[in-house]
Amino acid sequence: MIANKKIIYIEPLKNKKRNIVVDEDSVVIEVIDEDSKDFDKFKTNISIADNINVEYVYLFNKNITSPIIEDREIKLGINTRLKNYYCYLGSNFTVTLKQQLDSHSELDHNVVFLADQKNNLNIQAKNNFLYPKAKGVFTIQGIVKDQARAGYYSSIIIDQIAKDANAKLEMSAINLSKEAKISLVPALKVATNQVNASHSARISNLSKKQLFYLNSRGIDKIQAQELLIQSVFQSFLDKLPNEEIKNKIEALLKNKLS
Amino acid sequence: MSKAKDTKEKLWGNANPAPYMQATSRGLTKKIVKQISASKHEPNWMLQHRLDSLELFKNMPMPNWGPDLSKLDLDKITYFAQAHDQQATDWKDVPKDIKNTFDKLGIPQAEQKALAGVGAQYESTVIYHNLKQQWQDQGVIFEDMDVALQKYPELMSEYFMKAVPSHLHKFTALHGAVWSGGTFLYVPKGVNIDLPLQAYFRMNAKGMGQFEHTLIIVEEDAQAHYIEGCSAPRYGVDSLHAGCVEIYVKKNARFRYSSVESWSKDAYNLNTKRAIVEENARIEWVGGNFGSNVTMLYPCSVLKGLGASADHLGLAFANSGQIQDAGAKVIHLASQTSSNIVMKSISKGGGVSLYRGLVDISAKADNVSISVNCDALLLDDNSHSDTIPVMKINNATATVVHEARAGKISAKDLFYLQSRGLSEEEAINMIVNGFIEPITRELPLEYAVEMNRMIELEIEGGIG
Repeated sequence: MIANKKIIYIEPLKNKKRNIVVDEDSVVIEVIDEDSKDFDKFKTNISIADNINVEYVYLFNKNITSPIIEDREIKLGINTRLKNYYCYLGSNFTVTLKQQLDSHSELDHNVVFLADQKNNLNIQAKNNFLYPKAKGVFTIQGIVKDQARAGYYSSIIIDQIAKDANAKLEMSAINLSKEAKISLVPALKVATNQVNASHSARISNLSKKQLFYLNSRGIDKIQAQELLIQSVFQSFLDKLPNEEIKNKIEALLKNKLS
Repeated sequence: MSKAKDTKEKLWGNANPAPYMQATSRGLTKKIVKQISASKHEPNWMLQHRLDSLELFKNMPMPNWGPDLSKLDLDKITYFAQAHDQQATDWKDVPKDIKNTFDKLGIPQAEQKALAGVGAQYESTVIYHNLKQQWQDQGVIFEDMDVALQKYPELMSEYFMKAVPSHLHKFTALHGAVWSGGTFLYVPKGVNIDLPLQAYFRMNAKGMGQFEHTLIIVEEDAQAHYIEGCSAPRYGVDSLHAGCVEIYVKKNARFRYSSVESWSKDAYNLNTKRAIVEENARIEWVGGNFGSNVTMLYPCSVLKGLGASADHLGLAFANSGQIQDAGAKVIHLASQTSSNIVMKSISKGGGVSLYRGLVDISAKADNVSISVNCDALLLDDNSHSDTIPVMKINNATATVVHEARAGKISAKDLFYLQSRGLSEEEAINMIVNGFIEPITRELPLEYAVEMNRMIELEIEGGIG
């Protein structure tokens, strides 16, 4: 976090389509929750100007049962540094996320999601490296529990002229319930050889060994699962550039786990 | 002639005259399907199966989720051609020109040295089939599918196109209608065949279609290794291979299926392979895809029994004009099943290689463990590599790990090797051979050498 960075709050969602332009070094905070208007479908275009450093925090926490679809497109300018922190909590939510990286831009995209109850979270993310020397690190962590369904498709697409691209995608998910379902697709589409591209994915649960260790210290299975969820979120929360939004997510998480 | 050029000539050259093509016609009709069935004196149920499959084929759409197949003109394909109407069990009885082709491919020599049995198919029919006496004595059945249909009708009706049904997709429907030749292997309970068995499929004439069917049953506690090879001369006219492999691996059995596919670069290779694996049984797929214009091939393991396991090792080389869309599918239906997928691809000269994979864990399958590892090497900056792994997890006790990397040959590694006296080409060959070593080391030596030669051949002509 850069000290004294300007904080920009994006006002609650009011229209089906909106354009967000960020043209100075800043921390941007966008929350979609009960204060936002109900739309079954909305579109967000975000444009980040050239040569700036931006940290963008996005929290989706709208608890309605009917499905919501967001189409979100983010364009990074030349030599732009963007750190994204996306947190999805609850709801039936389908996101189509398209991010475009210009030359020398750097994107650090961090996502954490918790799909619980009977919610269905479906995210389709396309990350296009369009010009040379762009760098992207994509870290996706998620938890599914109860009878929730989560599907996350994330692709890194490196065009032929996007030489010297550096891309890394890491996806991990924890499935805490026999009735929950999860599907991950970490895709790589590479059209040039001057790249360094990799991806990895891991789906796991609290192992018997870990559970035994925690049990032996007086922690039962439910508490152990809560600890696991907290640990996944903690690594995300620790990176956040703003205390206020950090406290908000912590409170929401505590509420969900209680 | 260099060894690599020699390999090229024997795989994609050596076309024989094909006078038998005068008796054939192009395109697919009910009449042709009936003729195929009649020429083989098939039972009624098989004719009906063919006709039902034909109807399915007509009504199913072309797959639109993968490579573009719109240029494949199915009306210009010859669906059945018989070069020779007798099957031999001695190479001396095979017509000279056909025997020469297989001699150049090294099949009779390999049979003598290192194989338990050999089948050789030329166009639509098998022209040679033999199994060494010691395995016959132990009850092993290794036959051409047409012969097996006559001799073992119960096994055929129980297993034929049950793992890969005609309705799976358009090309399995086509296969169900026009299949011809192929291999039937039955390994009785407790028998361990310690030498590999091999089948080789050769398309010779222009515009041919080959639709061999491989059906393998490995009974409880049995073990075997089967190798398939294939090739065709180049004509500049599309040909089609839509074979089908069905493997049943019973309780505690172990089976390895190796294949080196070297169809000519005007062939569409749209093959379907699937294994049903029962309790504590194991299937191992080892495959190399080099030839063909478009390949769509995703061997599938269905882990049906408790503790079953699958290994998928694959290599694809996509050179100029080629699309190698290959991968692996593993469906975990039972608990404590495990799978390991290792896929390597090399792209050059604008070639496109794709890994398309699926791991699917059913809700009832507890404690499943999966590891997927994909590496792509791009030898120039206009080639493509895509990795599309799908992981569907419906059980909370599963552990799934996937890793993939794409990139070029490290300049540091090249510099190191060149500083020790290797030419650039030698250094690249050495690095590429190291890259594919996890696959080649699982093949018998002769095939590993052949695969290395194929790579050398494909790399020849410079790196961008």
